Amino acid sequence: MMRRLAMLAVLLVVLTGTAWASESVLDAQSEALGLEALEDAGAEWMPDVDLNAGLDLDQSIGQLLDTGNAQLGGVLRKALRSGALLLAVVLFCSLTEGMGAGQGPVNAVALVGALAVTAVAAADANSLIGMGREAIDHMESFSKLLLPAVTAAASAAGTPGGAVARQLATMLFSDLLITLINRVLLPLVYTYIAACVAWAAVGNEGLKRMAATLKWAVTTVLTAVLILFVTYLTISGVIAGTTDALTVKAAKFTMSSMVPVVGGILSDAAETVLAGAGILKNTVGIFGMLVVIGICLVPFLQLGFHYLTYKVASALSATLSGSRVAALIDQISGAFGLVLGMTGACALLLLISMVAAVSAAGGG
Amino acid sequence: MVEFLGKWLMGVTCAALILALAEGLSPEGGPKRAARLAGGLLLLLAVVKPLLELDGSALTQAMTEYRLDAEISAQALEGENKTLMKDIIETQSAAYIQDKAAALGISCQVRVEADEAVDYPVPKVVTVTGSLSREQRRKLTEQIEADFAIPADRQYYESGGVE
Repeated sequence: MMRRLAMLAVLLVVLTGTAWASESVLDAQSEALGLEALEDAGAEWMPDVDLNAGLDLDQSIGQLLDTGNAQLGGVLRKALRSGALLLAVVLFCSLTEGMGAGQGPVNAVALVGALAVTAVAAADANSLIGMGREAIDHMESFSKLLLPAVTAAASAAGTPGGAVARQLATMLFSDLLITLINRVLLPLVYTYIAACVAWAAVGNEGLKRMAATLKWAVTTVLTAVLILFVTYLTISGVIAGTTDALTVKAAKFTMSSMVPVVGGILSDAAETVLAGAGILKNTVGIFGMLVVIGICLVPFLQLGFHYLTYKVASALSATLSGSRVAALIDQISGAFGLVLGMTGACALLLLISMVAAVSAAGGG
Repeated sequence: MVEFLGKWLMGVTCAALILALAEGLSPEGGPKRAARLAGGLLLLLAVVKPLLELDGSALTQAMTEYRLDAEISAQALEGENKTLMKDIIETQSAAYIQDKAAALGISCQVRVEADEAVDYPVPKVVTVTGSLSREQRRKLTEQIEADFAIPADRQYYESGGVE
């Protein structure tokens, strides 16, 4: 009986010590990770977050929804205004066609209609492409702080190999994608719009095919980069996971070969440190996801609503006028879809990496 | 690599544009066929030439740089974690010894120092402060030796000197 009581007392001493240690461990690790800089970087989209104290997921999602709600009215008004202007242009073209214009060697109605639609769409395209580009820039600069923090926390949580492989893949593919978008895909989108406008004005089928090829090229490059990223992440994750499992096994073997009391205390201390790092990894990972969603929210709403409005305007235009102007509106909505796809691909890359980090089981 | 891809795509697109224009402007018949042939050759040149200048080592170099960055990030918490583990091990070991001493009827203060030089910090030196009888000190020394594998020459008794 006395022996059992003594054991219980020892256990209580160790457990109380562990509980105290857990809190101080978390504080020390947060400080070493420099989480304040990360909080500041994400404050524009996720204000009043204290990563040290933990993350209230419901409150954070509520904050995002509030931001979306607040922006929704303005976004809708802007998209509807553009839609109404486009319909007015098509209506005008339809009336002119009805009066017998556009029968000459050069289809003047299609030419003027294409130019008018371009004039309306140019402002939208400029602001929306700029918005998408800005969101990508924000994600890029935020990821420079987020990824090292998640890697450090995941590595300390017992998966160093997996963490390194994840950061390597995310940084590599993210940089590749962003450089591709800035230097190749966005210029291709502008060329696509130009080819569409030229086709609508002149009616050369080659230009139409070229526009379709450009759209296909942009979509294929985006899809290919994402598929390559996911494949690389999966394969390197499996390889690194095996290495991490071996490391944990070796550590457990070392501890079990020690004097039982020392081994027990050592294993307890290691578990406390791993648990602290695991909590931090999950908090930082989820915070990162929320900030990425926050960065993309308004551009997504703008691009999404404009895309839908242009699609609806194109469908309505087709009933009003049989000219190429209706098809041009549809093609321009395709350009918005491409920019939406680019922003989405950048966000998806970071989100996949964060989900992989959060769902990775720590060694313990 | 991206520079290359950008230039390549732009080159092909420009060649295709020129081809479409030339074809559109040339009159029907022989000139149109000649323009088509010349345009086709130009397009072929735009597709093939940059592929011959491709530098495969750039990707390997970039991968190495990214790996180095990632490894540096992964080590950011290593030092801090070792210090934390050392603190926890010292505190818990001291608490354990103090508890064992209390079970032997000894009232004392214990300080443990862990060895940082090895992979895992393990208790290395114990300092016991208190007034212990010769018998109590012997029993506690044996207990520490048995539980922590710390030999007597690394156990210090502040009121009784080195055991």
